[in-house]
Amino acid sequence: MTSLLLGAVVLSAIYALVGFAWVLLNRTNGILNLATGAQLAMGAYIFNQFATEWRLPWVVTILGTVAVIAVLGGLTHLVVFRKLAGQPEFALVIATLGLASVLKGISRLTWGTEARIIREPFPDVLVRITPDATTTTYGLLGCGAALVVFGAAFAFFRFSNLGVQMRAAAENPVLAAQGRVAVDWVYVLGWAMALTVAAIAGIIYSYSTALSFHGVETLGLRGIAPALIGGMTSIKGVLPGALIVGLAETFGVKFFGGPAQEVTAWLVILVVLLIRPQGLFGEKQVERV
Amino acid sequence: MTDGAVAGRRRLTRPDVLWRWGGRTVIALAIVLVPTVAQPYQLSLVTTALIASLGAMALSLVMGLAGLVTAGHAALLAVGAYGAAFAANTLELNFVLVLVGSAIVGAVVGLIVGLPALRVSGIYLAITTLALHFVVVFAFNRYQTNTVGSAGFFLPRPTFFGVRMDSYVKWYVLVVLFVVATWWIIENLKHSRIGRAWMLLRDSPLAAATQGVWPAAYKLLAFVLSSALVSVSGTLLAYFQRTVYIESFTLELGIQFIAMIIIGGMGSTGGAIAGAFFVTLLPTLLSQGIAQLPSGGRVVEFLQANLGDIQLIAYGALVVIFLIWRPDGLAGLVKRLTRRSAPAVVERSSTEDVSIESGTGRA
Repeated sequence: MTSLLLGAVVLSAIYALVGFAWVLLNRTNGILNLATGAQLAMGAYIFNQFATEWRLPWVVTILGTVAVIAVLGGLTHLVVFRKLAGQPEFALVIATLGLASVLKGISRLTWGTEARIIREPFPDVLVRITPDATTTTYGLLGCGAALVVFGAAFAFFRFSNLGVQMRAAAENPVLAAQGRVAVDWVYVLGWAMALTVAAIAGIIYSYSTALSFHGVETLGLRGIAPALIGGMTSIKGVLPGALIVGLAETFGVKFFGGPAQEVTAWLVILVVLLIRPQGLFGEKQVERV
Repeated sequence: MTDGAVAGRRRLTRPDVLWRWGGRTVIALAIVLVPTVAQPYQLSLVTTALIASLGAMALSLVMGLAGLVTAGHAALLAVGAYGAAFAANTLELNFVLVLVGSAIVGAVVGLIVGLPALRVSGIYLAITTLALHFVVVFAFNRYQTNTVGSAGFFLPRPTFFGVRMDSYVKWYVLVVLFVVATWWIIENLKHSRIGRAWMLLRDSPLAAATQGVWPAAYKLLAFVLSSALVSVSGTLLAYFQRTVYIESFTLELGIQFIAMIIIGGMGSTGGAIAGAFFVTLLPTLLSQGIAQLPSGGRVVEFLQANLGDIQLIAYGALVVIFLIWRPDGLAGLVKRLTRRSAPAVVERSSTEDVSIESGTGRA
């Protein structure tokens, strides 16, 4: 039982990271990004290219991956979404679907479809937490990454000047631009941060299973569940959301077998929207037309 | 197309009438001529494209008129197709009954998925339809694995009101009837009170709400209607191809349908049909084009081996490019060209005209 709960927590950490990416883009850039799955997969494959294919030192691998992802995020804004500014929200969502299709095609052309094992920086061993509960080093790595990301995000948006500017740009782009906020660069930063965090989740997830496009892409899409439970705009709300999804998925797999993993999160979404459409932790929207 | 509602009231000028009836005559001639000149394989391609245009018209209703995004197109096609497989093989129902049942089931599924989403905001429909996709594909995958295995279901040759559907020409006629009927219904719906309410909702939800249009109810109506139609098109396709297997219902299939109406022009019924033909026939044209190239080259081999992935990139890129460059699609382009040669139509007096225009154009 303790082992099962621990497993749920480890899974929740991954979901928290993916949910963070959804919420950040929705809040800062105002985009419901349905390409998150494909982008997360792309990030994991780029890391794999540096780590496994080219066998570069770990520092180079990490810095290189972050740099490439940041550039991709910047291009996403400058080439696509900047040009769509002023179009209705649903047009932006359609654009993310088109983008997902393009990225999937490129990724499969470049890296194929078969599952891969990423080179490990350290061996994945069992760690005993309590006498009857074990987890793995990569499970702990996921929890650590989630703690660092959420802690850093909290400090960044609360205290740093840039973080406050991002919040301002999200709140009202026109006023922010008049207040000397470089809105375009804020959006580029939003994309880069969201894609990096999503990639971290994808990489750690791939270490615990294997890297396959389908596997990480669907993980990225399921990550909308914790974001939605948290209300789509609250970064804090992602944490309890991720715990709920992690628990539901762990027990779903326990009682209904492995394939239940693919649908539990989606069923949670439908149930949550039926009971409390604004999310369990979201604020009630004033304008609901 | 959207300002057709206004054009209906306005005095039609002579070039306007000429364009309208000239176009209709050409289309009617083409419909009659196609089965006489096309080879069986080409006719089956055209029929497939026509079935796809049913789904595209349904999607155009939801996205172009009501301004909603749905990612669940493949799931609703699967509902129609697997419903047909179940009804035909297990219940041994008649083809016509299956079609009616498919519409009802599709509508109910649309209601179940649309209801929670549209209470909050239109954009949430994208999320619940995504959920629908994964749940439906999972459920049908299990059903297929537990009954017939990975090869999928096989469907009997149907009989439509006593006519045995055993030739491509018969299928072609049946599907043309469906497409024309759907086109007629949607065009009339568009110019009705409901259609105008949808367009107002899409362009300005707040204005619509003040005019007594209940946003959630109207959006739900659009999604339920289109879900029924998509399900019927899934049933037709299943009977036409006579096989149903889960691998054909991917998320990317939904994106293909979105590409059809973005390329054709959101909200334009004729555009949806044109887009459906373009997207359905593109793979065949591409592979035939590649076959014409001198063989043996590495580029040709690469293209032939990866046609599926190249399609993914092409459809996705077309969606993004059209959204940026021509949000009103080919229909907008055609309208602009015909307007240029018939300048008498370009009279913008009513404010209604302008406000409706801005929806499909750059808002």
